[in-house]
Amino acid sequence: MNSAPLPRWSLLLLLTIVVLAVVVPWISPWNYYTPSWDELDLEPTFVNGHWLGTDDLGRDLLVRLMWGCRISLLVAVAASLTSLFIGVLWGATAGYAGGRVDAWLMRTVDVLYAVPFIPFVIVLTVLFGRNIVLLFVAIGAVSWLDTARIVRGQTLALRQREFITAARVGGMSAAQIVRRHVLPNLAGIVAVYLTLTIPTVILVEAFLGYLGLGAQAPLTSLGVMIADGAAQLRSRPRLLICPALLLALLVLCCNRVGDALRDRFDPASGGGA
Amino acid sequence: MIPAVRVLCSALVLSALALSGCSHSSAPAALNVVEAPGPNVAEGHLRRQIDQAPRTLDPGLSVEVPAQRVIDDLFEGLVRLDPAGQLIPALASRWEISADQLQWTFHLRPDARWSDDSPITAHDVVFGWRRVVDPATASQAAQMLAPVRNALQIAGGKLPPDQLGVQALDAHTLVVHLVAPTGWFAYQLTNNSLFPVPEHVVRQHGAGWVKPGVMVSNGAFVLKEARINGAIQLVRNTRYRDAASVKLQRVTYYPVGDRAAAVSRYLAGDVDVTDGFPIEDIELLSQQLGSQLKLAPYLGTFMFGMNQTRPPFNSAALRMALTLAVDRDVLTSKLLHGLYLPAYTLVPAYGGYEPPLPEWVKWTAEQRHARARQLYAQAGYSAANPLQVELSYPTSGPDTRRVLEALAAMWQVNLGAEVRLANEEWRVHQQNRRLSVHALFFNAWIGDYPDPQTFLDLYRVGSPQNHGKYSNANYERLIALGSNTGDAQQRTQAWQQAESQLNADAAFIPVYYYQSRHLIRPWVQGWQGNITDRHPSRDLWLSTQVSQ
Amino acid sequence: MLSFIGKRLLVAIPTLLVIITLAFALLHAAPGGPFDSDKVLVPEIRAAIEARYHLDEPVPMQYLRYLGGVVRGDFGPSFQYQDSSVNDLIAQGLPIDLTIGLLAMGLALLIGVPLGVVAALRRNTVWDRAASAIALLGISVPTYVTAPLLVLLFAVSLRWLPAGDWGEGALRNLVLPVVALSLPYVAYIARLLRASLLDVLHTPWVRTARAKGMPWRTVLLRHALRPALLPLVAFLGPATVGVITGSIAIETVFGLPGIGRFFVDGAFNRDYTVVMGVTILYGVLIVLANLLADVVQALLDPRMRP
Repeated sequence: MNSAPLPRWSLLLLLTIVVLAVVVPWISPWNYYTPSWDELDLEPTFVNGHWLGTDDLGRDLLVRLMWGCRISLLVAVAASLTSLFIGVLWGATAGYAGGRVDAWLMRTVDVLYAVPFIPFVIVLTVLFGRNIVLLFVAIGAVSWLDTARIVRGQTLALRQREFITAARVGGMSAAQIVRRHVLPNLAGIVAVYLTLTIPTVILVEAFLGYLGLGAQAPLTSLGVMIADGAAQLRSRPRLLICPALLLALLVLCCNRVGDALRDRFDPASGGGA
Repeated sequence: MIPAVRVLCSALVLSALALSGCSHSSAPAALNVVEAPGPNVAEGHLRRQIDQAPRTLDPGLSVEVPAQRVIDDLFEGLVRLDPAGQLIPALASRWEISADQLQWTFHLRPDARWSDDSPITAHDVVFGWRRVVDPATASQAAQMLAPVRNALQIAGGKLPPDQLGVQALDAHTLVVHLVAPTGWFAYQLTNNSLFPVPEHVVRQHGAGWVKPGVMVSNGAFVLKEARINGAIQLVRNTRYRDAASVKLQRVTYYPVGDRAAAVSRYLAGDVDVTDGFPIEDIELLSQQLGSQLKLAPYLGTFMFGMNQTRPPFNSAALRMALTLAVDRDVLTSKLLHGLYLPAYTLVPAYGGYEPPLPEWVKWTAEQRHARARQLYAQAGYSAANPLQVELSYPTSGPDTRRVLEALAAMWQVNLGAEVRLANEEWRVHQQNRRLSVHALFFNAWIGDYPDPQTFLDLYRVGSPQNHGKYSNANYERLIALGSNTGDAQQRTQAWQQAESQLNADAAFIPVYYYQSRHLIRPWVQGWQGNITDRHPSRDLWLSTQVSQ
Repeated sequence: MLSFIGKRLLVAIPTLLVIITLAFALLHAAPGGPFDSDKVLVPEIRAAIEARYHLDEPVPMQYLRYLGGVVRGDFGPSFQYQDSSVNDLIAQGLPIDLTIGLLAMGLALLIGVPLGVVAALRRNTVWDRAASAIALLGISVPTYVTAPLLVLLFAVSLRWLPAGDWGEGALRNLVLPVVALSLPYVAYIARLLRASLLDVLHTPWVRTARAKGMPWRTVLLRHALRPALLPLVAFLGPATVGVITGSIAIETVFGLPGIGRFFVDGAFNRDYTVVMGVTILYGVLIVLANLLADVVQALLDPRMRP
C-alpha cells in the first residue's frame, strides 16, 4: 500500500488530449468558423476527413471540439491555481491562527458566498471590457471558497495533533510548521477537491457566456458545446455526446491523477507523521 | 483507469441509445401512445404550454406576449380577433367613426356582465384606460394608448388622468378622441391594455385584485388558481356574454421556458398545445408528428440596425454592400429548415399589404455578390483594408447565435469583411442600444398590430426605437402623409413608397420574417394560423370526432 | 459552546450588512435598468415609472430607503411581478426549493456516503474504480443534460412519471427533479469521503485499533468515520444552502415555480428588490449553515472546539 502506483494510463490520456487540442486545429484543413453549406450535419466518416462529422453549420466537429478543449483547459488551470493558492493559504491561515484572524477571514468567505454572482460578472465586464483574463478572474473568484472552508477545518484539527505540538515546543515558527507539517497533510484532500472543481468551472464558463464574458462565438468551449448540444439532443445527439464524453474523460483522468497525488502525499506512505 | 472508463463509456452509450431510441426507432410506438386522447378530452379540459410565466395578469400592466394569451381568455375588449385574425365586435356591438376619423363612438352591449354579475359599463372602460396612463400606476403599457388624445402627456405627468380623450356618454356609450386619423386603432383595442377593468373590484382590493379568488373578469373564462411561475387554471365563466358558444370547461396554462422541455411535455402527453419547439428539431418532429406541427407567417422581422451618424455605416454604399452580401435563401432553407422566410424589406407581407421588393431580389447570387463587392470597394475597403466591426447582440439561445455566426461568415466570404460577434447581457444590450452605442446591432421587431405603421415608425426621426438614427426628409413626408390620410388606398401607397425609400437607403439589413410555430394535438379543434398568432381558448374545442 | 454560538450570531449582523451593501452596490452598478426593454419606453413614461419606484433618487438615498424597509421586514415591491411583493414571491417559492433541495441532498448522502466508504476500504480495486466512475459521471454531465435525459427516458418513452410541473408536491412530480439535482452532489460526497477516510485510516490510532484485532466495522464506525466526516461537513454547509435556494436548471427544465428562477430572472431583468431579497435570504442561510457546520465539526472532533 505504500508504493503509490503512477496512473500511467490517465497521464498518457491526459497528455494525448492536451497534445491533440494543441495540434489538431493547426494541422486540420478546416477551421472552426467557416460554414460549409453542402456539408451540414454529416455523420462521422473517414472518407471525407470529418472524423467526428460536422455540426449544423457544416463545420468540422473535431476541430471545434479541440478549440473548445483549449479554452476549457485554460479555464480549468486558472481556476485550479486560484483555488490552490488563495483557497489553501486563506484556509490554512484561518485554521492555524484561529481566534480573531480566523473570524475575519471566514466571515469574509461567508460574505463572498452570498454576494450575487451575476451582477458581479456584469459589472466586471462593464468595467474592464470583454477580456479573456476577466473570465479567469470571475471563475477564480468563486472557485476558492469551498477549498478555504475545507482546508480551515482540516488545519484546525491538525493544529492539536501531537506532532504539531511537538514541533511548536521544538521552537519551529508558525510559517515553518504550516509549510512542513500542515500543508503536506492537507495535500490529499485538496488534490481531490481540486479535481472536483475542474468539471464545475468548465461548465460555469458556459454560463458566463450568457453574461457576455467568455469565448465569443464562433469560438467555443467544451461547456458551451455541451450546453448547445443539450438543446438539440433530440435531433443531433452526436453534438452532445462528443463534448460530454471528452469532458468525462478529462474528469476521470484528473481524478485518477488526483488520487495518485493524494497517495503520494499520504502521511502513511510518505512517512510524514 | 480502464474499468472506470468502461463504466463511464457504457453509461454514456446507454443514455445515447435511450435517446436515439426515443428519437428514431421507437418513435412510432411513442406516437401511438400519444395519439390516444387522455381523459381531459372528454372533460373539455384544454392544457396549453406558454413560453414564459406571466409576470402579471393585470390587463392594464402586462406587456408580454405569453401573458396576453391568458389575459385574452380572462378578459374581453371592445372588439376582438376571430380565429382567422379578423376584427369582429365583442363588448361593443357596433361603432361609428366621425368624418375626420378623430372621434370614435362605441355602443356597448347592455347585457354584458362581470363575473360577479355586476354590469359592465362604459365607465369601466374609461376607468381602465385612465388607470393605464396614470403615472401612479407605473404601467409600461401606457404608450399603447398613444393614439388617444392627451395619453402621452398624462403618462408623462403633465396632465391629470381625467384629461384623457375618452368619455362615457352614458352607461353603454363610449366616445374616444384620437390625436390623428388612426386606421389601425380598432386593432389596438385588442391589446390587453385597452381592456375594461372592474372599477369596483380594483378600488376595493388595489394591486391584489388580480389574485385568484379576488379577480373579477369579463372573458370566456375566470381565474381559478394561479401560482407565480407555475400552472394557471381557468374555468368557464358562466356569466360571459356569449357563454353558450364556449365549448371548453377548463383551461390550464403551463409556463415552460425551455423549448425542448416544452416538446417533452407534449410528447409525454402532459399538454395539448405548445407555443413553439426548437428550430433544430423541426425535421425530426415533422417526421414524427406530421400535421401536428402548425406554422403560420407572423408579424415579425429579424434585421440588423446600423448607426448611420458615424463611420463606417454613414456610408450608404457599405450598408448596401452588407445587405447584398447576405444569402438569405441559404440561411432560411439550410440553417433554419424553411421555418422562417427570407426578408428583403421591413414589413412582412400579410392580407392587404404587399411590400415593395427591391430590384436585386431577382438577381442571381453571383450578381448580388459582384455588386456587393463593387460597393464595398467604393466605400473604400479592400482585402488589404477590410471592414472591421463588431456585431452586438443580446444574450440569446444557440439558434440565434448560429444565425449570426453564419452571417458573419457570409460577410467574410462574400466581401472579406471582418465582423466579430460581441455578445452582451440582455439589459446591458438594451441600454447600449437605447444610447446608440453600437455600430452594427441585432434589431428584431414584432409588430404591435397588423398595419405597416408599427414597423415604419421605427425609422422615423425621434422615434425611441430609431437606434441607428436614420433620417430622411422624404421618408418623414411619406409617413406623415400615410398617418394623416383617411383614404386606405392612399395610405397603402404612402407606406409602400416609404418602404422603397428605406430599401434604397439600405437603412437596415433585413434577414428573415418570423413564423409562429406550434404543436397541436389532432383533437384540438378550431385552431387557425393567423398573422398575430392570437388563439383565444373560447374559439377552441376538444373532439376526437372531426379530423381537421 | 453556547457563548460561541451567541458570539457568531452577533457577528452575523455586520456580516449581513456587508453582504447587503455589496450586493446593492453591484446591482446598481450594472448597466441597464429594470425598464430598459426591447420596446423602448417613451422617455417621459420611463421617467414617470422610475419616479414611482424611487429609482430617480440618488443611489445612497435608495440604499437607505431599502435598508429601512428591510429593518421593518419589508423587502419591497417587485418591479417585474407587479402584483406581488418580494415577501410574497419568496414565501411562495421557498417551500418548493426546500422540499426538492433537502430530498436531493438526502438522496445524495444516501448514495454518496456508501460509495465513498466502499471506494476507501477497497482502495485501488475494481470496486474503488467503479464507485468513483459512478460518482464522477454525476459531476461531468451537467444537470441541464441529465434532467432532460431523465425526462426523455421516464416521461416520454416509458411514461412512468410526468415530464414536469410542481403538481402541488405530489411524489410522482418530485422524483425526476430530486434525482437530477442530487447527481452532482453524489460525486462531491463520495470523493471527499474517500479521500478523508483514507487519511484517517492511516493514522496511528486506527492502525493500533486494527493491530489489536478490532474488526473493520467497529474501527470504521467508532474511530474512522467521525474525523473523516470533517471535510464533508465543511462542504455540506454551503452546498445545502445552494441546493435549497433553488437550481435554475432544474426549475427551468421541470417548470417548477421556485426562487432560483426569481433570482436569475431578477438579476437579468434588474429586478433589484427581488435579487436583494433572495441574496439576503441566501446570506442568512449561509451564515447559519456555516455556523452549524462549525458546531457539527466541533462535536465530531473535540480538538476543533473553539
